[in-house]
Amino acid sequence: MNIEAKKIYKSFDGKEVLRNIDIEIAQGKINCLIGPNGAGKTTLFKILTLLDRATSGEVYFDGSPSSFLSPEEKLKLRRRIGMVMQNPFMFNTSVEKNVAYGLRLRGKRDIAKKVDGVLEIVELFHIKNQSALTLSSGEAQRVALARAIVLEPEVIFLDEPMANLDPLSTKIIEDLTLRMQREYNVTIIMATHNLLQARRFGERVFVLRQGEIIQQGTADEVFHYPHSSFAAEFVEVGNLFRGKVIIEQGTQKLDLGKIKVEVVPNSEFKKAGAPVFATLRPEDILLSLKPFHSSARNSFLGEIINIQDRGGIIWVTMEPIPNFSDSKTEPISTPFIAIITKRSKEEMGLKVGMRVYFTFKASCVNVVAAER
Amino acid sequence: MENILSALSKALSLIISLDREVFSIVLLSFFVSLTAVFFSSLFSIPLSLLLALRKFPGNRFIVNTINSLMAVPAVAIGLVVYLLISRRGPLGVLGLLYTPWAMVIAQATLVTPIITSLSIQTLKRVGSMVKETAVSLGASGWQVVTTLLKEAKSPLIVIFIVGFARVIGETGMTMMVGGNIKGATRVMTTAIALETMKGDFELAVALGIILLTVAFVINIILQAMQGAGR
Repeated sequence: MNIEAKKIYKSFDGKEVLRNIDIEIAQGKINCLIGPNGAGKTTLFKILTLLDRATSGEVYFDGSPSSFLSPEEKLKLRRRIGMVMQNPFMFNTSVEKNVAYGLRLRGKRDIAKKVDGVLEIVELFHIKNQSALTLSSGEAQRVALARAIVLEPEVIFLDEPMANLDPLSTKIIEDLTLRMQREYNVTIIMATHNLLQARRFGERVFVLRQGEIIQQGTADEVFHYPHSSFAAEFVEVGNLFRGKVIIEQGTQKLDLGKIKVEVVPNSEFKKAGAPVFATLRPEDILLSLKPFHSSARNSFLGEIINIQDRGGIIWVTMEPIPNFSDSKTEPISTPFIAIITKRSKEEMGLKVGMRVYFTFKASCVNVVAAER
Repeated sequence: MENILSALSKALSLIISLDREVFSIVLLSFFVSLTAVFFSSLFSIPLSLLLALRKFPGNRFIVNTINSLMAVPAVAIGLVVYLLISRRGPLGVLGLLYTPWAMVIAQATLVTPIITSLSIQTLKRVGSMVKETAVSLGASGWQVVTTLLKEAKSPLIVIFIVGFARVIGETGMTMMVGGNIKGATRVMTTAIALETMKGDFELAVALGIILLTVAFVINIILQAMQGAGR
């Protein structure tokens, strides 16, 4: 099913929460709607799933507008769309009956068999008779996902499906999301404020900020050439780099263009040349005026290009000075951001244009495959 | 002291011997109050569903009005019902005054704002989550309503019991419209009031014990249900 929204506006009590939203969901793909909390992701989801009405604008399903559909036609359409909310509500009954709910509404056959099957997939078969109100948040999220996919929707909306979950639940939900898309060609729309998640899953990415889509495109377009406002919004996440895995003197490293960064060896990236993304938290970077010896595997010389005071905490942006010169083309800019205190900045006398050493441990670098 | 003790022992023998008068009074009390709560909920539940789930102009005004109606004193309701159903009143031709149905009407009128107001609060609390979840899983309008009623079942039962407890203990209003006619409209509270004034304590104490037992049982059930709901 093709879903398209045109000129969607939404206000609550005079406050505008969505503004001029124009999007087309990529069919059969994983779509990621990224944006910080409060950007309007859930509101947009409710409009796209016909749970709520836009103040103005139109949602098109397979090219036909949805505003003037009769309740029966709307119900038919809704029954082809699945939705898992951020904090899913569990009906006050057993896990099994929660999952069976939608099938019962539709008067389906073989309900018990279908329910058992999907509970096996989310690894909750063993607690199918337990009350759904006693579940942990990870289990509840899995029940909610099971409850939606047992209905075999053509499109499924997942609102922050992996926020604050235990690792097992996260893995199960991730695997299932990928499987639904690959094996059953289900269109997936996932809202997240997690950049890495969007990077890993998103084939088409929409960036929502303060009620507006500020960028949309393929994941590569959005991540490689982010608009400035997008970058500003997400700089809090820290340092995000694109690079490739290289093997140098038997050690696994990341080639970021200007510098090569040591990382904790990961068997997932045995192949040299694999494109990856890497993140590094700004608070994990140590600045020094002179080189010093430590157990940290990565230490580079960089030039300070920006110093920003953010309420007593100083954000220092540095451009590394290449420590090898074998590349023929001009290497891409890879600014590193570090956080230091105001006192450190004053004691070290940091100024824009100065050169400093920045040091971080290999274990602080988080590496994610860029290829799906 | 002797007075009380002898009344108590005679009262107990009245209860144990299943005295006909005592039990016809008890049965009528239950019949009147249960019927009142039943008819009240037939009206209150759809109304509170409508007010809790639908936004429409005047919604808030109606809810506020219902909340204020909870404060109307029972005796005022008794007066209004009396005027409506008395021989010369607009509903006089029905001949309802001094019948059990007059008491049912008055008690239902008294309890409806209470049941409606509490139900609106309950349904609003769980309503939006249940509605969104049910709709997202493909529920039609009616399926949303039945799901919501199922989810709110135990708090709603608690509300009915609270309403029942309110009306079964009602005296003045019930006497005004029922007339406390022996064998016809005499219920526990009106009988206790009358017998006490007559100085005839046996029947009064016997009925008092039963009324108190009813109150205790209701309380125990409520507490058990609230414990189970947690």
